[in-house]
Amino acid sequence: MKDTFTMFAAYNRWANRRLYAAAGDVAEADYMADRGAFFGSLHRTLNHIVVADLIWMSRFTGAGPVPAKLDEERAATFADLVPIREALDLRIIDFVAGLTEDGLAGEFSYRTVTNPKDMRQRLAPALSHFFNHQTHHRGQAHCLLTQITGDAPPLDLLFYQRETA
Amino acid sequence: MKAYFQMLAHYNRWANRLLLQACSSLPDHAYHHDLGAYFGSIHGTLNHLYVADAIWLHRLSGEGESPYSLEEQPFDLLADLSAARAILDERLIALIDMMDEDEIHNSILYRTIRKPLVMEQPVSSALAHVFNHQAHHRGQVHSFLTQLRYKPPALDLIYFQRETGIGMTEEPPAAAEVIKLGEKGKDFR
Repeated sequence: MKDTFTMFAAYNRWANRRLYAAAGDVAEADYMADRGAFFGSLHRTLNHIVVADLIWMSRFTGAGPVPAKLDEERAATFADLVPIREALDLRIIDFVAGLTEDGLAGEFSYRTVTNPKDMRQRLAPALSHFFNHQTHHRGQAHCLLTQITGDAPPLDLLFYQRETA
Repeated sequence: MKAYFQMLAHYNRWANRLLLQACSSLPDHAYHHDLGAYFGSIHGTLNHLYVADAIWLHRLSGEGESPYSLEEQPFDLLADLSAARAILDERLIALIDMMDEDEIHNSILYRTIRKPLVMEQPVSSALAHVFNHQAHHRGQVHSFLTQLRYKPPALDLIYFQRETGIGMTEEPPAAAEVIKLGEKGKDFR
């Protein structure tokens, strides 16, 4: 299992870099505009992915910032969000690199945010959710980009796999 | 690895059912409305997801139809697409159920669609792509529903896990034993 998560951690950074490079070319007004998406704008969608990732990383590692709300704004501008995303993606890569197969099969516990309840779960399925959640919301950001610019970079895991062999 | 892909195959069926059910409450014009998405409308995006999965199922199993182009739109109506989707999702579950760990790590050969090249890839990494691709496009459809002012269902894998117990701590005793015996976390059900 570890190889799969190592791949997803590296893919996450690759996909975010492509997505952020495209988002960086969008005019600020378009980037900030509420386009009726689940989290409104492109900015708030990218923010939400950061927030969810921070929450899970704090659950996995017991360290780092813990946002209090799923729609909390971690950065007010795109320029401020970029370094947060970069640091977080590196943190995710390092965290997965330090995992063992036993650790992945082991349990951890956490408290949910929206409706506080204590949960216990094995690490591997929670990590599967973590990476699946990123993809779901990158898909949303991707279609906002397509709607704004008429174009967005493909984020297929397959392209990442072919690029990195 | 097998249990991991079994979970994702069941999650795929669960998420598609929720999403297609939500789409069926849309008026036709909204469902077919061009939202300026990569595949145009909700219908165009769902058609693409079906086409991509059909291509991969054909590559992985050697069975079923294999569309010629990623832009192919095999269905005009949601009802027809939903019926075919349900069959495809069952085939995906059955395919993974029949695989053993070795088969999952073996490589397959296939020809790409856009510029025909022969590719070789382990089944595990191909499956990881298939499930990730589904989540990407379901995320888009989810966003379109919101933009059309319809409330989409939450499709989080974690909700599927909590609802079905798959991947949660209430383990079937046999599987829990396997992990205690140090089977390297192959199986996390």
